[in-house]
Amino acid sequence: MPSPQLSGAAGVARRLIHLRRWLVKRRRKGQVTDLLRALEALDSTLAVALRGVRRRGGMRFDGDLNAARTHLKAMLDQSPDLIVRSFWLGKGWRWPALIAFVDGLSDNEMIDQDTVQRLMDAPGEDPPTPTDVFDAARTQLITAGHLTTTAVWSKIETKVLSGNAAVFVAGNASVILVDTVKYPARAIPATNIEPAVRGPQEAFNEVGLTHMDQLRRWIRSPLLHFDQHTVGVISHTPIMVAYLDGIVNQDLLARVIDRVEGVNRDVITRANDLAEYLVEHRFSLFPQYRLSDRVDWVARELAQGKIAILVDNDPFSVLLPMTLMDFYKTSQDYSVSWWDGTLVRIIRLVALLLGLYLMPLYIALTSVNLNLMPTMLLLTIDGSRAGVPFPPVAEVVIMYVIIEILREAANRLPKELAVTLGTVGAVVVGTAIVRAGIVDDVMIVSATLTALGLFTTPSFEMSTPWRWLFWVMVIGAYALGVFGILLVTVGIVAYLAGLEPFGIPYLTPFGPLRTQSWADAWIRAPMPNLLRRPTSARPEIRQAASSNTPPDRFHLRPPKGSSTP
Amino acid sequence: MMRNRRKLVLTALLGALMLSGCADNRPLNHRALVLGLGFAPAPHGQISMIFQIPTLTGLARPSMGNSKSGSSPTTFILTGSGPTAARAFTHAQADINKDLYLGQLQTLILSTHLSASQFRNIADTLIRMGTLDKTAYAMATSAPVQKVLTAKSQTTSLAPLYVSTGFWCAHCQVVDLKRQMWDVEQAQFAPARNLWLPLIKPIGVGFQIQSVVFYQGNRVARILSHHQTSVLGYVLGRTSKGTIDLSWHGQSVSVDSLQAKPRLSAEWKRSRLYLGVNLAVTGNVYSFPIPLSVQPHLAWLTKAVKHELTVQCRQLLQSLGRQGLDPFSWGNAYVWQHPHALKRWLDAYRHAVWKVTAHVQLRQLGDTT
Repeated sequence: MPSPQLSGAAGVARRLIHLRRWLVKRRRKGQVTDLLRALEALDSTLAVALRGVRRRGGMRFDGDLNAARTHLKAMLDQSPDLIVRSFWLGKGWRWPALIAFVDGLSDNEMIDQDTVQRLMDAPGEDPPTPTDVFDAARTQLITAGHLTTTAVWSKIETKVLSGNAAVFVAGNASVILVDTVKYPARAIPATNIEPAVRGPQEAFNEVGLTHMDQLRRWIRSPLLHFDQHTVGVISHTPIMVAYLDGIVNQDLLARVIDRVEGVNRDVITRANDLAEYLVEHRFSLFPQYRLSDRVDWVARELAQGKIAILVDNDPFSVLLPMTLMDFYKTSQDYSVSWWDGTLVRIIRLVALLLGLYLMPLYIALTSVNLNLMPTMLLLTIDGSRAGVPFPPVAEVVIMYVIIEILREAANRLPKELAVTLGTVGAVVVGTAIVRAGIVDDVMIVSATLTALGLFTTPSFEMSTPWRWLFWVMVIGAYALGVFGILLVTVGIVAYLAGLEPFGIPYLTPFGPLRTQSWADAWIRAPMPNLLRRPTSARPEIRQAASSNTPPDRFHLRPPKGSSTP
Repeated sequence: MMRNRRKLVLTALLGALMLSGCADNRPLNHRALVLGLGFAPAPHGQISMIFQIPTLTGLARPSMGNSKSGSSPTTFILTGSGPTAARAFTHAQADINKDLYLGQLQTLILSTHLSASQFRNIADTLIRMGTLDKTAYAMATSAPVQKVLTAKSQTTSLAPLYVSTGFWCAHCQVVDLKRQMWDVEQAQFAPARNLWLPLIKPIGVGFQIQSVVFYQGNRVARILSHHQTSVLGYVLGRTSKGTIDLSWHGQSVSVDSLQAKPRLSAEWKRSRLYLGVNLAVTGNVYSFPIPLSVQPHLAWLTKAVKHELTVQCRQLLQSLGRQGLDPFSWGNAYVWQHPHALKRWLDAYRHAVWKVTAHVQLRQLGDTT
């Protein structure tokens, strides 16, 4: 039952909200608005908390096995995966006991061999007191590694549903919780969301403990810390806040942990659910965190002073804080030569500009600012548009909608069929649409380049804002031509310059200017030259390596006495 | 407060949209691209405005030569006449269902038969046209303008594109004679500036541009000969590959790749205007008929070229000066400083003393044949 204080607080909050609504109706907001807004937030917080409190109740196990059996069966409404088994504890004692666990979440071997068998085979003749039996079971008999005891039903329920086995001993008001958790899990997969031609391919699976193990293999240092938290009042989703102690900015860490602890929701099922709670600018088009399933990438970001939040049941971890530049870096950039890494980053930038501006420029130069187009090109376009019934802007809309449909269809289909769909889209639809006279050849070329340009963004999150802004650009270009494109560009840059997720300027190292961090921005300097961590995450220790001069040259001489010259 | 701010932003946006003129935007489909525009006198003192517009055939093959474009014409001609250029434009517009678009104009052809008032009216109209491409190349012709605009060229199916890239004097070596629309406009606002335009003449296949027309007060004042145009190229520093043929004991010797950079000077002495042109000339000698050591015959050639250039340039400049034609726009600079002294300047310029000097530097490059 909820405590009367909580219910009372909720009631007061509700009454205050009614008062606020009344004040708003009469336009008398005044200075109490902020206070009332805070109370409204308090009310919603209490509502969620009370739901959890109501579910948990305050009941305790009292040593009655029949009551315990009834409670357990009632808990999951006779669910077949909950196994509740009675047995005699000790060959000689024959003391009534009960074990409960969820089939599929627990390791049967540990339950059979390390728990039930050991308890049933316990030696001894004289029947001891319930406390003695309980202590013997806890300290001598059960050989599983991790045990806890409790009497609170809410905790017992949560633990059993997490894969633990609960051992009830008749007459004793405590329950032994044996850590027998063994989730069915995928093998360590190779990443196919963030592929790389070279370098590590390992990805996270869905098991939180495995996430930690995988990261430990990458950073074998006691500096790697995992702060465990549980989010979701009903789901009890375990999450781990991972960071490198001494390198991560302490203020940043404290803020992130505060925000994680402030999450109050019934069910959190995935990393993105949680991440959307953590950002300040919730309606911002631009991503403020990055989701990655690459273990090597998460380890690298931790080494840069960033924070990773690992969420059980989701192979993607939340990386933060992030700047615009961070979304254009990939694991492969560091697995190839620095020339190659730099080249691909520049290509990504060019592709972004191409994807964002090519079609709007086409509209602007063929609909508004015809005089800015080189004459020969204009004549070519005019010639190719002969017989096309739609204005350029309609062509762009048609083509880009087709591309988006093809993209979404390809995402939903199995990989093999997606390739076929791509071919059908590119060849059949592309050719047919030109022959049908709906769009012209030049438009096919620019639509293809635009799609390719926007798809080269390495981070999935970052391609979305550009796809949205593309349409804003199109409107700007159609209404005001090149001036409209410039206007939208200025708007985007101004917005990005003002964006500061987690206190970090989004455009850094370019705005504000941090030239020291340019070595790992649009260019990727050789590894020995990357001496300092980027300023973006404000790490406690900037120095990442000591300065290193190239090794001295030397010439291999033939061994003494060798006839080879 | 918030509502007021929203209203302000909305008003500003609406105002910006209205001022941008986006409501008048018409896409490419609804525009007739005018590549060549000509003006000629029409009967009854009217002005004829001739538009050259690419056809679908021309649009499909803008870069191909005429021989490959088949028999269908690549351009069509639209003509409108009226007492003023603006009325002529309106009449022409009424005959076509697309907007005549002058933003991609390549060539402006002005008939030499236009009267001064017609020329001024045309220039005024061109100045006021907002969408007009001011970088279009301006030329004059004594031939019918329509004939120039329908002439076929060997290199491209759209004549203006060929004309715009071939602004050199065919019979006076390589002299850059490019003049643009803004030169025509500038002359309207600067009375001391003499407009000169290259003269284009249609031939069987293609065009000839080999002489220059000088205007004075919007009227044709003088048409230079080929030779004079060539000399004008040196004086203005517009010759990039000039040639001078000389005679060495009855045998022909040529100095090629001549380039000249002029340095101008002007001074008043005892109420007389002294104008100086100092040419820094460079050139190459490829062959010499008699095998001599290098220095003596180079010295002879240098002296001969120097003499030839100074004499010819002085003759041309004096001749132009007597007519009050000023290719260097000296008068423009003078009138800028003395706004009410135009008459004084013209009088002084007509009686100016010209001094032309040349510093010639030739290189012996050997016989390449």
